[in-house]
Amino acid sequence: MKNECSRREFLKQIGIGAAALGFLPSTFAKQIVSAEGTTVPQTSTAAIPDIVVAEGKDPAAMVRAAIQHLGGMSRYVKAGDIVVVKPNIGWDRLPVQAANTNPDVVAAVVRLALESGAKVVKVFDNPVNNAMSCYKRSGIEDKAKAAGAQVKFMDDRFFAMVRFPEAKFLKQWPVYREVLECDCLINVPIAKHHNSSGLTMALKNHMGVIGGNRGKIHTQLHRAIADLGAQFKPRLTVLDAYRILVRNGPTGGSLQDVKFEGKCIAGTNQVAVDAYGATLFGLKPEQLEYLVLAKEYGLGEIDLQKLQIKKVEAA
Amino acid sequence: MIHLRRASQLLFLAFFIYLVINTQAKIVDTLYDIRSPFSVHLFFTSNPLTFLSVVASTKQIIAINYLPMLVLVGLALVFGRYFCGWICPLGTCIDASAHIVRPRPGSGRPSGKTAHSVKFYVLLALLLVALLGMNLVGFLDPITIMMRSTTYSLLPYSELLVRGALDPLYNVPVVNRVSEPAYSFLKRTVLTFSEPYYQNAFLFFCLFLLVLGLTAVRKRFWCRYVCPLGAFYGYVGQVGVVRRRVDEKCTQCGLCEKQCRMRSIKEPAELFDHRECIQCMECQAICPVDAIHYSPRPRRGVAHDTAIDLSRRGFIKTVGISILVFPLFRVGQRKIIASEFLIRPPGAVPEPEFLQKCIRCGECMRVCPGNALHPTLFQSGMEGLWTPIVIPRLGYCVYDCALCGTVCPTGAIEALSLPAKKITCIGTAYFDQNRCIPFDELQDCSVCEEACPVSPKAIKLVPTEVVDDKGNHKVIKQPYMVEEECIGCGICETKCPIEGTSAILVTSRNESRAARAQGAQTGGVLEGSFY
Repeated sequence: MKNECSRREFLKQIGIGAAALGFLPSTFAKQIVSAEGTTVPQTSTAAIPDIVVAEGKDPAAMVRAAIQHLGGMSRYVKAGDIVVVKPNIGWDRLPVQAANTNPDVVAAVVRLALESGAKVVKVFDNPVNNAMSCYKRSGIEDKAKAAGAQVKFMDDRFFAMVRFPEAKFLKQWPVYREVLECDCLINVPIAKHHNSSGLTMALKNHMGVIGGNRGKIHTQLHRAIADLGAQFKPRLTVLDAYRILVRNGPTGGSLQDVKFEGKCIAGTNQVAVDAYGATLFGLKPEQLEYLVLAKEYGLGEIDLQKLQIKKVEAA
Repeated sequence: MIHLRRASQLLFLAFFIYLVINTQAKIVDTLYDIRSPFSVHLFFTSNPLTFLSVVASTKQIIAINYLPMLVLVGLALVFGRYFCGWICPLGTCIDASAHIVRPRPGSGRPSGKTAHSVKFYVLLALLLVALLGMNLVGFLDPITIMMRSTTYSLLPYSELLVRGALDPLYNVPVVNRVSEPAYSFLKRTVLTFSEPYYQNAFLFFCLFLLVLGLTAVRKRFWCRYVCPLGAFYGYVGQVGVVRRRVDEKCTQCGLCEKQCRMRSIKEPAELFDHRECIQCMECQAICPVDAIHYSPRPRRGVAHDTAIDLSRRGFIKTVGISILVFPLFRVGQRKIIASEFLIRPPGAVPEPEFLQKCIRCGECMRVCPGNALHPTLFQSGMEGLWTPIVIPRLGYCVYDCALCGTVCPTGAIEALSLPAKKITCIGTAYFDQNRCIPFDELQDCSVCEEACPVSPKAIKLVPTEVVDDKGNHKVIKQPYMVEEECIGCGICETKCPIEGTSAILVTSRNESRAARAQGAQTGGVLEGSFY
């Protein structure tokens, strides 16, 4: 009898303990982390240009050439680093539809990071469509995994509310923990048309590391994009312009909307990369409001005349 | 033999649940497919009751693989009503529930023949009504009940339990080294990719409990008195040769009669109703003198069968009641304004035919990767209760997926090729400018436009100059619909960032199947072949 009672008591305690644990995640989620953006290593060497534009027919070769001329991946990824490679995997579309980053570009970046001694390379995005479909049909899951990356779906539990100290509009927002905790963030967006913001490239791609009701921030989208740029400063940005989506963005759908561009633009300053990216669509950087705001914030140069741009051919 | 029977029951129950779990969307070579080569489809294409009912209501033959059904019915010609005792997943659950809700003492008292014959009249009524063009079989078919219960409530419930148990552990040191790998393993194998949700899931859970709970009144209450599939197998299986035989060793101790879960044994023990016997073989095991055997040949001694008397009077009554009751399902339907929110999945046949074909099994809902499909309430009248409907605020129809048509066991949703599906219009969206942010708050939004999957987009933005409350002139992008591009997938409604009801709503307007409907659809009033 006595035994039974104590067992019951024990179970009760376990139950209370489990219930208490149940509250833990929510407590953590509400905790506000004041994380600093990842710092950008300032390019002091004059030999290294601001932007490298690689042209060619092979996405992987272009990535290698572009990063080579930026001083090599080992400038950005140190041995033992936890690296996050953040492509655009926003839509349930195939690579030919150019709505997501080209999978070969993502795989090439992953390989370079691992070759430079990264401890682990994580690849993820917070898609608009069903994540399982986006990861698979974009080709990114398979190719990044084959390249050695850890490809995981973003998990609702791993967001932390973060204050954005420099922001004018997005004062605080849930951010994915793995981005906050990584040593090196590499942004690998695709360049494509986007009706409400004009174009989506590097700065806009940070929408994929935040959670919450992202639809809501479309009321001041340009401001929000600039705020994200102030918060997230990747060491390296690799803009995929192998195929670009010239209309009906950001989803596209028809192959008529896709143009073969055969370029890969890499740089250490994401604003400068976006400024160059605008020219692919026949736009001036000043025509994109968020770039003007980013410039005002002092996040980077958008005057292409003032940027050192190196063009290379990738065989 | 009892162990063998139990093994068979558990095996088929496990198989059923396995198939339900695997009736789930995944991507194979960039195309949407289900997880396993079979889907739970198999249980419906092999179900003679739903098959007969659809054939009777549409007067058309369905193109399916007939082999599994022929095997099951063929076996009944040998083994009688074995299906209920050896295969039926609902029967297994009912048997299991008898261990929890023990039948009331005294519930073993003989039930009259009339009570047992109810299920035959149910079967007769369902088929009659089907002949008159109304398919109600899905409400009472046990496989369908099982499917609904599993899909809408039991699986989502178990997933909640698993997630609830493992989720909170993710941040607990040491424990999460075990719990997180276990969680991701379950996610890969058993759990649905996104937590499934179905409206009114709790109701289906209650109905399932009700069917099981009837055990408290009588063992296998459902199977004895109500089940139309049991009646079918009982009727067909009455010619079965392998049956319960009692030899002269019988001492009339009455043990077998008392324990019989179907109450098929009468006194004296040789007398029993073969149509009621589900071949569970408990009597053979319990007999103290080993007088009972299941065999094709009569032993020495007499074995009488007392068949339930399906009287002419009962027959006429059933016909009469069916004819009187069935229009009840359509009271108020003849000129009812078709609900504009009755959005059927792509490939759904015109509404009158759809209602004749749909057995409300919910396979389409289970497989839908967008969780867009839900059981209806009364958008299509009482007759359409629990048939699939797209509720775009809860989930959208995935542009590159046509799985619902491929799993539908009756052709209520036709299997469409992907190019055909992409131009199949299930509805059209419209803006509620009173709530839409660019109209109501004079701020940019365009989330719906971004998400629109068709090219060119069905939602366009027009730069409009507005004056805000401070007198500032500014240009915002206001959205508008290009109706002929909209296919009604509903992602705009799902993603609309406004709280509560979306500011863009999909209705069934312009649906492709309406053009095919035989009855003319005029001004939203459904007429013609509907009744």
